[in-house]
Amino acid sequence: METLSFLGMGLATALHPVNLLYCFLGVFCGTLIGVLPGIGPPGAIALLLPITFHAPPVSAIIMLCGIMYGAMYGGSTTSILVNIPGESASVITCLDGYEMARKGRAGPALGISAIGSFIAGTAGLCGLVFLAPPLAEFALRFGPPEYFALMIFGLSVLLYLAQGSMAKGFMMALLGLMLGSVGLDPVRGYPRFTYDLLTLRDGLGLVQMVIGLFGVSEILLTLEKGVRRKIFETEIKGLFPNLKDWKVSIFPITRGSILGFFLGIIPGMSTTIPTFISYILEKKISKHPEKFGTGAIEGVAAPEAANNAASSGAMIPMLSLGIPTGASSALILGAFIIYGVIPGPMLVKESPEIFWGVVGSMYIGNIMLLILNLPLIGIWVRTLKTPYPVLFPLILLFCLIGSYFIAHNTADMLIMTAFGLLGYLLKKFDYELAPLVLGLVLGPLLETALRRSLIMSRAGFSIFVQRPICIIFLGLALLVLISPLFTRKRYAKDMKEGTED
Amino acid sequence: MNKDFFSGLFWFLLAVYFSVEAYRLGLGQLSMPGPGFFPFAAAVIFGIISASVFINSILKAPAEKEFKAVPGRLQYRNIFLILVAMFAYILLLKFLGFVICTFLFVVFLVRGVARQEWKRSLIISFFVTLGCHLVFNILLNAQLPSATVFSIRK
Repeated sequence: METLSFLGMGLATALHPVNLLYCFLGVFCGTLIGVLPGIGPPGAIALLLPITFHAPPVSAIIMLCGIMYGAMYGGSTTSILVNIPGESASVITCLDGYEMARKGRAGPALGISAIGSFIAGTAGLCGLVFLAPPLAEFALRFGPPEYFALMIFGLSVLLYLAQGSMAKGFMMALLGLMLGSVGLDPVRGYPRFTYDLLTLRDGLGLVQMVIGLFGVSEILLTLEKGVRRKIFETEIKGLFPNLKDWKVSIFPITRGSILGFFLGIIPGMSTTIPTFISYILEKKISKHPEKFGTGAIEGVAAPEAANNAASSGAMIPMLSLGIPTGASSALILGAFIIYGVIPGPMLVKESPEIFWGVVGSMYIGNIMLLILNLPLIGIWVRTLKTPYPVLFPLILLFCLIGSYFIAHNTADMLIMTAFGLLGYLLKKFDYELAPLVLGLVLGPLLETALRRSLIMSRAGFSIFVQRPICIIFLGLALLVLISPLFTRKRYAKDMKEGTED
Repeated sequence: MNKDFFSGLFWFLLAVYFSVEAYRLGLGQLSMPGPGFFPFAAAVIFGIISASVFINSILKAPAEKEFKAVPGRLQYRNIFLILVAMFAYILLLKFLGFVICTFLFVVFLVRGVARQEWKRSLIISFFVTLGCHLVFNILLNAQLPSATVFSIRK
């Protein structure tokens, strides 16, 4: 019962006119940027983060969450209409979504994607409401060694799931840890790698780095192939799926929601993998698997639901443990810290108004997204058709202004540009960016946890094998890290079969 | 010789540099780790993996040569021009101010990178600048720098 009264309080916070406005702005801007090809949720959050600096923390975080799911939704729209996934979680949507659009069924594809996301988001939030508080209660018992072990576990899951080579993923996470240590030492405040430059004392700055890595580098990658880009011309009519579509989709949506939610909770999982798994699952149990890839509506409904449920699921470890699960939630965690709010078990206990306000706003945001997307789809399609010669200078400008906006400092713009080039080169050399971002955010947290544990221990690393929760997490991490030796190939093959043929 | 050869080598050198610098910060003792402890540990592991990537690239180089590279010519000219434009923007922002810089930046990119005609470039740039001015300076009051070069300094 207590949970329900807290939820009521959260909804009241979220329905406060000012917060409602911020939520709307977040969802709107998020969708707008998500629709633009090339900028996914992490880029969108980083770009718009500076705008929220003047808002009170609750409103700012509400807006950022709105940006995150708005951008995710916008990514699905581009997948369906132009076959360009706005972000990796909507890669799968391209397969059947774009085929549906080519057959003149873009409307129902967009419709089922919105409705599926809404159902999954709602279900995911119910799970969040009931799982996050007990988890936080449990995590109150965690000390630095447990946190250290949990973060190591999260990082190893992320590495296991990396699309490319695991060694390179590991390197990117470590590079993130190294770059994250620039600035003042988090335990004793000793300056490191600052070379007496004032700008570097506060570190390289997460927002500047991510704007460069995800915004500028995408533009560079697109433009190295020249400016031309085709857009698929289509009439969009009849957004509402018909009765047959409903019948076919309702169970895939349910399965996608459940699957996405539980996979989303696992640190390091991010939202991409659940969409793959749910697509493969639907194809395996379908009576007519041959239809997948030729415009089957359940091939759009299930992964879209999984995608959204996973992002709700990801909020659980983020809010109740303070552990991000992917690049987007890592950034939101970074934003929390910028606002002076530390996510984790104490947040749920000591500032319930923030925790429940965010949860409540996510529900309101889901409704807004539905209202915003069905009737306003025309606006997004028109945005999508913005000619590239206009679009790319605009995005670059936003990157520059966004990084200036953080502290009114041109040095931040330089850092941003340098990371744009770095992101471009990393992609050219087949390195992934998600582990890098996670490393950047986790760096200071991981370091603090490790150093505090060692200070507590008085006997070196043995403290990590003396505490049961620690042993469980580190054991799981080890299991995840060595398992590719046995299963990696089969897993990769499954993925390939499920998506390609 | 492939991609991994160069990137592995580069990362290895970076790791060496980083670990030396971290070492100089002071590692402390295991019971009381110093400021250099964590970066040093990260850099050493980073160095070991980058060395393995580098060595692997030499071992398997002839077998898996990358044939698929370059589908059509890549326009590195664009990359170069964009980076130049961005650095110039950052440098000139304080002197020319937000409005003039933005206008020049957009003209340069639309004309130089997207290769639109002059007239079209100027029109696009005008509207982009106007829009940015309205949104950032007037709506959001972002306090972007205004031109200092024209104001009389004492």
